[in-house]
Amino acid sequence: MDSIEYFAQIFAVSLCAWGIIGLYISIRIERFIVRRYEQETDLLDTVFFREHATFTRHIPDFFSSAMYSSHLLMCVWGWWLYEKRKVFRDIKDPFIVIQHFSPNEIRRVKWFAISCLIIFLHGIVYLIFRSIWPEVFSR
Amino acid sequence: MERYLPDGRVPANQLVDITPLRLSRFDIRYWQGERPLYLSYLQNMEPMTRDLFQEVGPEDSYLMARLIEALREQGASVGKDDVVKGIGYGVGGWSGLAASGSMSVSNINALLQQMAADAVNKFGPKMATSKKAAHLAKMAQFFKSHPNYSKVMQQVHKLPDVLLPGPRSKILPPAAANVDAKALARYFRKGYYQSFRRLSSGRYMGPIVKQLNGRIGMFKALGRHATWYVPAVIGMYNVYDAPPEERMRTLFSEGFGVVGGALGTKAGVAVGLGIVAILGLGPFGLFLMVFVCASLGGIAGNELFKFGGGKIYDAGAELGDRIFLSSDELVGAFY
Repeated sequence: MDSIEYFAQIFAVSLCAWGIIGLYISIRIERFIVRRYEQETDLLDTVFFREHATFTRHIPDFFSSAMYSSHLLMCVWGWWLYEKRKVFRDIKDPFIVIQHFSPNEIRRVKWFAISCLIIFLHGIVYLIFRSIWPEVFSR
Repeated sequence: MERYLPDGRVPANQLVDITPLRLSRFDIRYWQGERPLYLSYLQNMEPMTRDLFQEVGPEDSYLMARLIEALREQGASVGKDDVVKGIGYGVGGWSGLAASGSMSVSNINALLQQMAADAVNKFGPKMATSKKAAHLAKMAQFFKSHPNYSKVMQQVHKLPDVLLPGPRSKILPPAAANVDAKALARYFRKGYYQSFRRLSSGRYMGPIVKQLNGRIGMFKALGRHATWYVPAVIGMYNVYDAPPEERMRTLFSEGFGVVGGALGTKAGVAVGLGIVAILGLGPFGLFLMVFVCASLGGIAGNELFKFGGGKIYDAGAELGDRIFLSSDELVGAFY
């Protein structure tokens, strides 16, 4: 077997392992984040969800948890990028959002973003290698 | 309600409020009369229906009940045990209609709050809340000449009939000569929109109790599981459609394809939302961007993980330089 075949198999194992890890983390996030945003806090009454993402509460929890996670990440990691945006005009300090979550919960959300990034990088590598070895990197 | 008003934030899902704060004398009497009726309707609701009612508010619950009524009128079966026929109609239609209703209501609230704040700035709080006829006439004039006035009316046009406090023609002054401008001024200066205001509660609470009792679980479950079973059904068809010797491999790769599709969709939603916040798009732009990114992410994730799952299967089924796709093939190779 060629070494590129070995690489493809290691690549596939890594991809699927990260996929299962990402799915496990996302299910764990879904169990608290939907309840926190929709029932335990008034975060849905902020401009972001009231005037822009108004349909969030109507979509299944699996998708709405992704929206809530990205909203939380915007406050945790991306505040320098988002603080002056119109959708965040009623949130003067990201702490208003972050305070509702424990460090452990925030860590899980960060890991979800990291696992998505790693899977995205796998996708880029897959596209590059498929253009070089189409016979190996095909379904 | 009290904790929202000082910040100028009125939640769109609490439109039927019965707090006396900032209500006119008429409204207070009206809601005092409705209170026992409301209590009896709430007692008639099953716990799950009551949870939904308290969670999404009366408007969305009523839209959902109306949707079931409309489906039944058209001959569709939306029984308690009839899950299959509900799939195609229920979830998407209800979500879209409810979301568009709340979107218009939240826009109206934002515009009304601006108008009320401008009126207070211009005339002072005493005159803005005065009950004297001359003051009310002046306020009515101010609201009609306010730049938000036409925008409010446009948003009112977008609301479903069931969310309007009265006949559409009566609350759209350009189209109705007999509109009471002073009543309008009283209404606008509150800074929030109250739907179902002059409707008898029986007109919307009755259908909610009748149509939603026993059906909420079905709708919730449909929405939740649609994420999984639509790609899973497609995957199962692909397994069925594959040649016999490829079936196990297809099952393996389609299994990972479902996982990849779900994750890709989720990541697409998050990326779409991030882009929207940077570009500062409105609700419709957000909906489109999230929809497009989620679809692209789902398709890309599905394809990528199908490759991964297939390769892992091949690695396990490999002997020497050959991949054996079934046990028959493996045994046959040694004869």
